[in-house]
Amino acid sequence: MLTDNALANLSGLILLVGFVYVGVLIVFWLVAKRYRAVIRRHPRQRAQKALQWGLQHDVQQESVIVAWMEGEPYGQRLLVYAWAAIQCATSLIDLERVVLSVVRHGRRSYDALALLLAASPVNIAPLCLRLLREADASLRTVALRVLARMVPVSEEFAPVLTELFVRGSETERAPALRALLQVYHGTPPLAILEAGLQDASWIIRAVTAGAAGSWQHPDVRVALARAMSDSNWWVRHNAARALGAMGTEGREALRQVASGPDSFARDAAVDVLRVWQLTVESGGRPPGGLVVVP
Amino acid sequence: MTIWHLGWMVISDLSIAWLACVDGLYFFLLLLSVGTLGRRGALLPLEALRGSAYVPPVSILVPAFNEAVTITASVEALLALEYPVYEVVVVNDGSRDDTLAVLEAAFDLVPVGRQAVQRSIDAVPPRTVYQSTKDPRLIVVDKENSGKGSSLNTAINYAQYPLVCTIDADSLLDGEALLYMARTYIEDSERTVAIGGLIRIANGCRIRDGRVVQARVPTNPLALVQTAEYLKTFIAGRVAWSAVNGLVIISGAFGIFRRDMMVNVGGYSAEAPGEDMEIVLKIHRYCREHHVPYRVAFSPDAVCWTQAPETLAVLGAQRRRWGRGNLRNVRNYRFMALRSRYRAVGLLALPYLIGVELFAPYVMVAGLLIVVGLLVGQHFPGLIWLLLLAGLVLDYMLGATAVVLDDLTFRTFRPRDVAKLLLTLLHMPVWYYFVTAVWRVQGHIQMLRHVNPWGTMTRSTWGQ
Repeated sequence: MLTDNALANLSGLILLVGFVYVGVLIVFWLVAKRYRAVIRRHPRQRAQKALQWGLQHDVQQESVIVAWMEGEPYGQRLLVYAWAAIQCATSLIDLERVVLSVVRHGRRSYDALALLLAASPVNIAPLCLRLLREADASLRTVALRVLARMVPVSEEFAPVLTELFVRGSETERAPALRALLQVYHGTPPLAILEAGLQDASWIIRAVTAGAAGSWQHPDVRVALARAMSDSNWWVRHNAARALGAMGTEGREALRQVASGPDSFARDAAVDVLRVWQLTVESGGRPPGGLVVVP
Repeated sequence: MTIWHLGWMVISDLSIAWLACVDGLYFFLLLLSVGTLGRRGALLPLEALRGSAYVPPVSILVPAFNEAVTITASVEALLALEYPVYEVVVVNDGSRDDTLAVLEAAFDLVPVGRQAVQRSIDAVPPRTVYQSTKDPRLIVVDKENSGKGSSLNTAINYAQYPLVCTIDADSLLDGEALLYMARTYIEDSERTVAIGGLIRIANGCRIRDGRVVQARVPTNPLALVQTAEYLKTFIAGRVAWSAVNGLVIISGAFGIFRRDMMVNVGGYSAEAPGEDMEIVLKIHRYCREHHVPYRVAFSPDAVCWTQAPETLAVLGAQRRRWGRGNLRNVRNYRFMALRSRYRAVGLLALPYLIGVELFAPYVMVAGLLIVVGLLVGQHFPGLIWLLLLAGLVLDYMLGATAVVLDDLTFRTFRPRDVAKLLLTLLHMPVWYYFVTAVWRVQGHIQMLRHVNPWGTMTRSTWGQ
């Protein structure tokens, strides 16, 4: 058994530990709060000044404002300088230098950078092509985002995009597929569509199903009707919408699915057909999926 | 050495061992929370989700029983959430007040021929299904009174989207709460089957148009201690349990589940209370027994504001209900404890639930008896004092760390409110723990005697 003296000492020790812990915690809290306020304030103030400076050059103000809105405080200042540099750049070498310096500052700036590049007065297609072949994944990501803003995509991109779709990382495959599908207009790329609809990733299957509605082709309709039995809701939903957008024949395919045995596919088909029916009945207004019992 | 002396030594040694284990576990959980909160949201910026076509669509399920006072504001707030594709399914669980009439008047409801979605759960069939002509995303299912779990099952049958979000009719979601949940889901969409959100106390906050515009701590002392208690539970507890995939409770006030998983496990149990814990235990059991790779996640950024009871009578009813729910679930799922097949749930979470959550009220009641004994002049060995002191100090250290961690991570409250919470933590163990422990024990007794009253929850309108 502990003696009274030992108990008193232990009690004192416990209290001391408690006081020291809470004291250190409160000091840490106050310092951290102050530090957070400081690091939050400075870049934003500097970035606001940079924005004012950037907007004095009255070209493409909208691009800068959108970039500003989309960017994080750290990236905003950088983007304004990047915008000015992109506008002034007369060669692809200058543009590439800007891209290389901006992408180092993190993925949150990629979208805004892509927007600025797409608005550049220089033809940036060759730069995108080069960036897509880079080993650095961040450069490839920026190039893919620029391509997403370039419609239509030139045929020269097809090999590199196919390579990225087949062997790229999870984050690259969907945008590569989207861009790849933009390359083809008249004839549907049936092999790519087939591969996309059978991919292991549901995002790839959903992207393919969503894009497939652009081609009025019997084989595409068959592939989409098959995709309506997919295990993922988004794939079924996109396939149904794509079929719905394919005119009378697409809707006929939907009606067949709607009376088929697969209840999951039936739900998706009925949903799209109902929306189409109500759109027609209401003179083209979005119906909101309302069905009133008579 | 007498037999009493020996008995006292054994009890005191066991108490020290219990205290050491519990506090060690709490500090371990706290460290896990610090690590998890530091890493949160690093992968996917929220901005990317706002207009994304691939954010998973969600059906928000709102069971409502006698919620005429708050239901309009709650539904309006839900329909104004920032989320690309969602619907709100309100289930009027045979309310005896004007809940349905209020909804009909506010949202122009009309009866619709909507059928239950396929692969349904056995549930009470509805009397009528309505849809709003003002906002077609609102579905109202009117049914006979059958309890919260049963109402949620009916709502699941009428939900058309792959994710279902359960919230209480008297709760308010933060505008971006669903987006944060979606972010957690998308980060590992193949394995995530359920996600819990952070519950905060809305009493004292400034609310406008169904949104908490200024977070404040409550002025009511009972609500204030609950604010500190919730912070401790969620920041130091649930964040950490989710990190080891051992989260066994997703609050009924706010959680997201994969609809197909809810159907697979047969939905909620119609028995009350504790259905929110039971559904998570069912999911753990199903996934482990069917070898389904899964995770039950927690999103601390997704905030739901709820009204805390401000009177002892209402709080007591709530805590007795929680006590009954805990005991019922432990009794029904005790076979999972200490079995490696159930991994973190079997080896950590359920032993914690039994050894700490279930046992703690009895330790507290024993402590209360000692304090009463001291007041009437009984003499106790010094070791008792030491144990009480160590418990109090460690508890304060844990609580203060949770409050500071919350402030540094989420910056919800003003500094003066944080200071109030730190002061509140000082007096909580002196009275609040004892009172709630007594209620919990009463709940256990009620459960064993098959007494199961829900209790009356009084609601007030959301202040403007």
